[in-house]
Amino acid sequence: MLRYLLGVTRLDKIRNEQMRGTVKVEQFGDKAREARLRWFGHNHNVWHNASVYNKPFVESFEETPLLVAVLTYMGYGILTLFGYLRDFLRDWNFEKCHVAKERDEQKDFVPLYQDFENFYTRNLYMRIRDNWNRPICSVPGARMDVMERVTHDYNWTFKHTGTVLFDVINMGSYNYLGFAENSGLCANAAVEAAMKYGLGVCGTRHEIGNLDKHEELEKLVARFLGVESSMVFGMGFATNSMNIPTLAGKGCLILSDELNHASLVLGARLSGSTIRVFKHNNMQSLEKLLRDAIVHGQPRTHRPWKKILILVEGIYSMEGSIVRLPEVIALKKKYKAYLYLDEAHSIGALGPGGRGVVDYFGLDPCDVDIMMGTFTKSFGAAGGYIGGNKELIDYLRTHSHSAIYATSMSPPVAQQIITSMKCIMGEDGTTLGQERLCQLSKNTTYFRRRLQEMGFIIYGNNDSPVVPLMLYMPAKIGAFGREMLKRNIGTVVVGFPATPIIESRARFCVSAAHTKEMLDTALNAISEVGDLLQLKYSRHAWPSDEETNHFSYLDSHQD
Amino acid sequence: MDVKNMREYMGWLYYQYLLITGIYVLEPWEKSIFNTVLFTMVAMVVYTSYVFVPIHIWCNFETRLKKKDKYYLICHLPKCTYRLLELSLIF
Repeated sequence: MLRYLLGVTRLDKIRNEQMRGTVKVEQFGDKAREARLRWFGHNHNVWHNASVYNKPFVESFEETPLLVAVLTYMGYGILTLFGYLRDFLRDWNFEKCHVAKERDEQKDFVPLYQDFENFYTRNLYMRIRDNWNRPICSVPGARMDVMERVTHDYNWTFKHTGTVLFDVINMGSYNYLGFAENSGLCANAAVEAAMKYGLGVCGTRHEIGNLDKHEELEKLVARFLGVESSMVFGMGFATNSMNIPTLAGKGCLILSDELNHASLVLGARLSGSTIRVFKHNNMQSLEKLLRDAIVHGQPRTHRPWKKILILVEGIYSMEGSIVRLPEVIALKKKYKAYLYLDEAHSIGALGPGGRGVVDYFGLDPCDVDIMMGTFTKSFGAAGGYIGGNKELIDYLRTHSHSAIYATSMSPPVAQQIITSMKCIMGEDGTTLGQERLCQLSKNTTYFRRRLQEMGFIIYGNNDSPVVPLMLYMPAKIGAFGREMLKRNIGTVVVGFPATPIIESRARFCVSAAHTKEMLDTALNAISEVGDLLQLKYSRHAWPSDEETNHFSYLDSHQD
Repeated sequence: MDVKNMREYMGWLYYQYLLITGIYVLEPWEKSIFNTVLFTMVAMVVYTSYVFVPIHIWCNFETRLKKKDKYYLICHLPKCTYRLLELSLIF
């Protein structure tokens, strides 16, 4: 009776549910989230601030199991003790010292090799060093050839045996769309460009190093991204580290994500601005920092900041997470800050048209002030670009350090990018680009789903082609790399200092060039190695039919 | 066949022990040092429990049976162990 008077009838309830279904408003209250946390031990971030997202944003960062964390610390403790023992033996000349040591004359100065990083390098990294810097002798496509190495003095020196491991499945190269190939359209076009222009440019962009190929490439990149104008640089790292100082300076504030890449951190530090760090992908932390910045202004004088620049990445390569771009843009507009988006891993890999994370969320490219990216990952070339409105790019052309001092991009590399970009956009007349984008998306979904079903802990968003698989224990880092190579699969394992000390991981990069058979072979090998090394730490099983069931269980409790 | 499976299983268990403690990455002589030290400590624990656990169980049983609250009237153990045993009787 009361509900009828208030105008809330059964029809309203049905309409509300339909509305909730189409707009996908937060259906799970705090209680359901707590229940999920208790059962699964991790935060499955569905429907967070869902009104700005047009598709589910599913990320998972499962918590480290307590026993595994304790055992990892114990393992590191034991290895540290042995490290002290070896350092003692080296110091007292009981064994030969292979590392750099200070000379006797330098004893009274500040010690150079005593900090933890050097200790770690000498005693832990060296023991499993054969998993990194493996020389390959073919194009890094879906399969590659790895040169075999042996070491007779426990990884201090290596010798090549002369044998080559052929057709190793490549799960480590950033070859998202499979453009790393030595035959085909792109390679032929690059060869023609090399025949016409040669290989070296012998100059910077300001001097006689500005080719018509660069102009053509810049117009094409601007068209691809949907911005007014763009500029290309010869090196991706240098694009960040040399251009952020041009854009920000003293009196500016840079808000940078916790897990930003070294190039962004270096560029921010070189600029001389104040840097504040917000928690990874955490919009509450970013908003708090923005509010504090605007309310309090600069540290001592309380003058307003000249500009506030937010540095984020499209896909974070160590976590596999995608930035919450709609929320960042909403915050940026509200507080009148500028946004610098580094799409090194996401350009070409995300979005229905391959245009990156902006395309993935269906947003307007004009909302992002500075769109930066690299050509290394999806285009099979080298170099970086910055896109934005014409005034910004004209300013960069005159003031960027990279344009004045660094050599410009080599012509065959520029031609490779032009051909591959036209292929992705579909302008070369074939459907190859669209096929590759679909293949990458299918491969990513399949690979991630199968790994989660097997019981591994996988970090990151369900749509990101970078797949980190957690290993945790120091001995398992070395064991995993070696066992995978024995089964003819090349993987990249990562430990400290690129990741927090107990969260070491193996990072797989899915490619459009991988066929389903290759992925199946790789997955079987990963499962085998996972059983051998006991890596299946995940505390909940994800068989494929049960996944839909448990979401519907939570659905039925919504009202 | 069973012996072979057993040996393979023991080998796999040893491999797990190497991985979890982190000794997998060490050189063979370092592995030997660690194994020796650990084995010695475990052997000492086993020996102590073999010698002392039965008599402690018997003394506890006798104390409760004869309803005496002084442990040392039943057993002849060194004085320091009585202090520790009194503490354990609180619980």
